[in-house]
Amino acid sequence: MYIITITLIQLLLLNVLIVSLIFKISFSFIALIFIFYFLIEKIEKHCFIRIGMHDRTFFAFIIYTVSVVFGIAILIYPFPVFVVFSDSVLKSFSTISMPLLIRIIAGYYLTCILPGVLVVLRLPYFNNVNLLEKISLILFF
Amino acid sequence: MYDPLPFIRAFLISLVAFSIFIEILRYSLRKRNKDTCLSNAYSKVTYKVTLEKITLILIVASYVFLSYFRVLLIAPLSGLLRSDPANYALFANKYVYYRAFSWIYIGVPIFLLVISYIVGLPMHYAFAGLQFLQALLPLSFYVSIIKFSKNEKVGLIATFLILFLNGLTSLLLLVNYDMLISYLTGNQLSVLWDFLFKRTGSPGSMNPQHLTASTLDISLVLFSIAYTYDFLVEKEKQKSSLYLSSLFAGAAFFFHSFNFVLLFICMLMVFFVIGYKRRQVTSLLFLTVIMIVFFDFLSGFYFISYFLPLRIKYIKGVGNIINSILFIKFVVIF
Repeated sequence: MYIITITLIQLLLLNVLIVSLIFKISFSFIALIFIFYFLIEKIEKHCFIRIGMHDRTFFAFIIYTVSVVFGIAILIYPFPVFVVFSDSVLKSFSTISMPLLIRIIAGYYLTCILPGVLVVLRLPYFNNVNLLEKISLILFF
Repeated sequence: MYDPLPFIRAFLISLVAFSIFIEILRYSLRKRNKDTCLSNAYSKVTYKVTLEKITLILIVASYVFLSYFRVLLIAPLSGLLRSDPANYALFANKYVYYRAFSWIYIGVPIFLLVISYIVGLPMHYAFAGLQFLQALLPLSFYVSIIKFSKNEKVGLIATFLILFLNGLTSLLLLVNYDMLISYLTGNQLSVLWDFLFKRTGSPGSMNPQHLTASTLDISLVLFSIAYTYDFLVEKEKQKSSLYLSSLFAGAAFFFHSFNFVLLFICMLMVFFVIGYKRRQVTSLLFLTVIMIVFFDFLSGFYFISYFLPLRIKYIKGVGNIINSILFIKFVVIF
């Protein structure tokens, strides 16, 4: 009798726990949705991305500085690193050293990002286009 | 390209030359258009961050993340990514070192080879890191639909449906019971892919799992159509739309497939014949042909010199003629 009572209490407690867990999860989900919605409302009302003439020049300065640094990084570390071979790419990348990582980032930046940034953000043809269109055009070029 | 160092140096010098060219062009444009809207647009550009844009950015981010997740966790040559990444490496090396042709296109293999040399990784690993280009697919869908509908919500819903439900194409599974069973038992990728290729043909289908040549092809096609619409239909005509439309049509030819360019030229010729904005259509047609030749020149005249004379059967002339006739009929009815 004692054992049955204890088991029943345990089951009841477990049930309560499970129910409370479900409630907690659902409440936290609802809370998250509300927070997210509230944040988006705030962002919609107040957040504008403004790019003026002065910002543009500063932006160009940053682009060119980063490009020069990355170009030097590629020249300093010029060998193709055909040493990473493993079962998965993630495992191979985990063994990569910092200079090589910088070189990889520099390579992707110089080949895929920089030409698009120069064409789309420096030339006036694309000033009035949608922000997302600009991003896709940068990736295209 | 046996020794990568001269290639890297040449690449960096060309980048410097390109940036100087862009800066000179920018300076001359500013000087020429001092009092026009082109220079006024410089003064301040404001973007409003809307709910639709944030949602789309979340969709794009999750799409790119899933692609990285899929590619990074598996071995690139295991076959789970199909044979494409391995074939890109194989065919690029075959063409660059032995001038041997393999596929109908060489754009993506050469693109990956160049990135591999600059990044300093083997091509499979360079390919794995390049998954951020998957963002092009949702963005191009969204932008092209917005150009037609002028409504951000329509663009967002269409992009969401196409990416996560794969549009209405998954309904094709219901037509074939065996395919459906195979799909439900875990053979998702190849079933949808093969089935769609059989039924609709490239680029009617899409492969949303990871970056392939069709990712670039479909995005370029969508952009080309959107800019053509912008150039021919919109009241405020911009010259940039003309250039971009022909550029993307030529790039789609270079990167993946010439089917779209054939249909595109057919469509423009129909417009020319029926007399719809003949002057604009002629300029677009002319520029598209120039872009095709330019991109073929970039690949060392792969298509004209190597592929076309030897593998004429790959052109599938009959199929393309039927496609073209159907497309022309569609355009005329429209």
